[in-house]
Amino acid sequence: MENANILVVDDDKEIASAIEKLLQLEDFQVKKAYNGLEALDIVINHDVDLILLDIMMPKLDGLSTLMKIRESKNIPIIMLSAKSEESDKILGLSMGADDYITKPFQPAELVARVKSQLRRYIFLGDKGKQYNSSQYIIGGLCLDTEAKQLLVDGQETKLTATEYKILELLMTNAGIVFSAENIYQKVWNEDAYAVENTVMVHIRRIREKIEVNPKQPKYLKVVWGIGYKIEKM
Amino acid sequence: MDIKLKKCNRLSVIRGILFFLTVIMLTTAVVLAERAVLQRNLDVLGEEDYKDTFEFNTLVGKTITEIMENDSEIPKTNQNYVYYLSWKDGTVSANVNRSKKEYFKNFSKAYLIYENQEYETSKKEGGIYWGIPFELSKDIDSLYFAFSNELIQEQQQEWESIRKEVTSVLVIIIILLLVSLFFIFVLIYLAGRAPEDEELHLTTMDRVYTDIQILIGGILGAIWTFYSYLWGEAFYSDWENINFQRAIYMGGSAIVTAIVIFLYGLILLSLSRKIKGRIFLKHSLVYLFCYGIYDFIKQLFDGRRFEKFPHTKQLFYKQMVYILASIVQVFLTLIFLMTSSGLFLLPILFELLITYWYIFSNNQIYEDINQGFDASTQEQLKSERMKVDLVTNVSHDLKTPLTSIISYVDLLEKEELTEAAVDYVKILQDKSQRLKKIVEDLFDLSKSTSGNLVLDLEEIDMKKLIQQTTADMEDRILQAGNKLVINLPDHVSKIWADGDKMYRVFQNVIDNALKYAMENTRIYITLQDESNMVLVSVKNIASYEMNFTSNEIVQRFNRGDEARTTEGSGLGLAIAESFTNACGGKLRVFIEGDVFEVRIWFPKKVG
Repeated sequence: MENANILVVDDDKEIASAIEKLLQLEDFQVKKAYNGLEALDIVINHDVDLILLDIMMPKLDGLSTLMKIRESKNIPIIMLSAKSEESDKILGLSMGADDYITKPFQPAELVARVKSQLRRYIFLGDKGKQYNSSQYIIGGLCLDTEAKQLLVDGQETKLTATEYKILELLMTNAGIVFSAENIYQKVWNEDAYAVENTVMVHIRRIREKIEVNPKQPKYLKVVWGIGYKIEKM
Repeated sequence: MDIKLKKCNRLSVIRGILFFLTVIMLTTAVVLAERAVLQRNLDVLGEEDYKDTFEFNTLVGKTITEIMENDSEIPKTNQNYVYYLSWKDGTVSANVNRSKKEYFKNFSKAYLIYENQEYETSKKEGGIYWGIPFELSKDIDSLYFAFSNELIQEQQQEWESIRKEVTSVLVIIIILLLVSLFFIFVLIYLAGRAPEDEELHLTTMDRVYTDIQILIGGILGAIWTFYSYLWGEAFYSDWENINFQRAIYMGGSAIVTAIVIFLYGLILLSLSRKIKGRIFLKHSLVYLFCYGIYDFIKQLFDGRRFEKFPHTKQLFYKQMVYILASIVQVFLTLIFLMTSSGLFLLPILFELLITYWYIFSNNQIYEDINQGFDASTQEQLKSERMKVDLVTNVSHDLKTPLTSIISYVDLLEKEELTEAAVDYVKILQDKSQRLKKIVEDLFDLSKSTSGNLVLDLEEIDMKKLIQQTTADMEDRILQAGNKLVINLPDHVSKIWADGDKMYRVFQNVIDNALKYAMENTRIYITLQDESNMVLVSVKNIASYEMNFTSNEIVQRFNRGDEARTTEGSGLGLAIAESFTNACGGKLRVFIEGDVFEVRIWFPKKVG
């Protein structure tokens, strides 16, 4: 992962430079582009392992560039944008982006996500098509129900028995919302009574382990007023 | 409170008593009067001398008839009267052995001489006619008649005692009437008053229109008159015999009179209240009708509401002209028709011309109005679009330099720095984070208040939401040090709202409480049912003096801490309120002393 080649695409020169510096401090090789056309040019002619792509750009905007790149490459692409509506995020992700960061962002988080995506790409690339039916993959998470093991972006992550059970329940039913009572009953095998706090505590601990930014979870989400779920990706 | 109640009771009691007494007194007066009238003829008050009364006159007629018809049966020793009667056929009947009229004239003060179809009587000038019933007088030649003085005296005495009795009844009646009148004045004076203030209080009865009230009064009067007539009929013949049936009638009459007087009293007081309130005329159907017509006609001619709208104003005046011109044409046509002049065709033709003019000239105005509408709708759409674009563009324009700042401050931190520079960088980081929060809040708020918020409404359990939120905020709560006392019901509390937004709402409200609560005090969160709503309350004790109103603190950028030194953008509560409203709920702040409470209501989701 060291020396990976990263392309930063943003029409704001200062921001592009700042990101370049940030990534260089992490020992990445960085190239810059200030619009979609330049970006396509670089992608075709050079080796690129990951792209940070802004949406609002002249000449060719981010989403169109994204589509174009996806025609030939499946390298991880992280969208960067000031547009923070859910709809914008969903649009970007459904068009083929792997992640979405809104501006203004925490530099540390940006770096963490870049690293996470790279690990994930390498891990998935390595594993190739070697899925078996006991493996559940959601984004960078890989849960092996046979080995009772969780890999986050390729790295083995230790979970307690309870944490594992909760995660297994949610991941094997990705997209389905479970109330705290449901989770408690299935995991602890007891009747649920005033369990919200207990379950929430475990959820938070799981988040610490699997999320890049536990305060802004991308995998394990709270459906407020109802329950919890693992986002289907 | 007690004093008010006492006063209230006293006034009402006094009025009630007066009213009741008045009704009783008037009823009594009326019944007595009726009785007196039926008992005796009215001249009982007028004539002192029995001989001048109608009753005496009747007695005379009766006696004479008796004499003439039953001559043979009358004992000759009758002491009440003496008579000498000679018939035209020559027969004579008498009860004394006298035939000279002087005897009868000197017999008493009540004599009657009928001779040669002429009367000579002792009655005074202008008194009531005494005489023989006309049909009977045809057969008489002459009649000499006189009542005995004893009889006259007897009758006179009786008459006088009756007079006394009747007069005293009359006096009683007058007294009753006077006192009633006085009471009525007092009641009218007091009508509409209440002990607590000087204002006029109208009652439910005053809601009935004046003319209807008067109409009811008229009907009541008719009913009473009818009944009294019936009653009078029953009694007229013989007052002295009170039998059961008559007693019923009497009682009935008294009751009917009492009821009628009672209702009249109510109506009278109602009318007087209305007069006092100056709505006597206004509150009648007649007035309303006339006013309605007046208003309608006024509206027809009043173009003032079109001041700002030149097109509709034109339409209006054109219409007025058309209506008036048409009326004139109709009028002329009628006149011409009535005078059978062929000219009636002229106004008809004219009317057709005017109609043609009216329709065609209006078309242009319709065009103009439509265009105006279109243009205004376009304007609105444009301005709406601009607003949305503004939010998006300014959002982008604010966030971009902010991104640079945060990124470069971060890079700066990674450089070799002097001690002072390290501090400065820390401050820059703090403030840029704060700025970021404010910008984000501002856009959330502007989106939700301009209605551009995308809501994902679904059925959520308020109880769960609160539990989740407080669990999620555990770190923050521990840090602040205040204990959260949470009171949730056993059952679920389902509402229809956007879960994410409501999470924000509670997060903001609880965060607000944590920020501003006094150290070592508790924050109380309760969830309860309130009829068909769900109510959440977050209460805390403020660590500072709250110099603002509930409304002020919810306003954007208003912060309790006037010096604005603590964290926070001032938008927390504004966003909470806006999001709550967007989801269909209500948020209100209540401040009492040092206690700060936020209450949120949501309609319960049924089924």
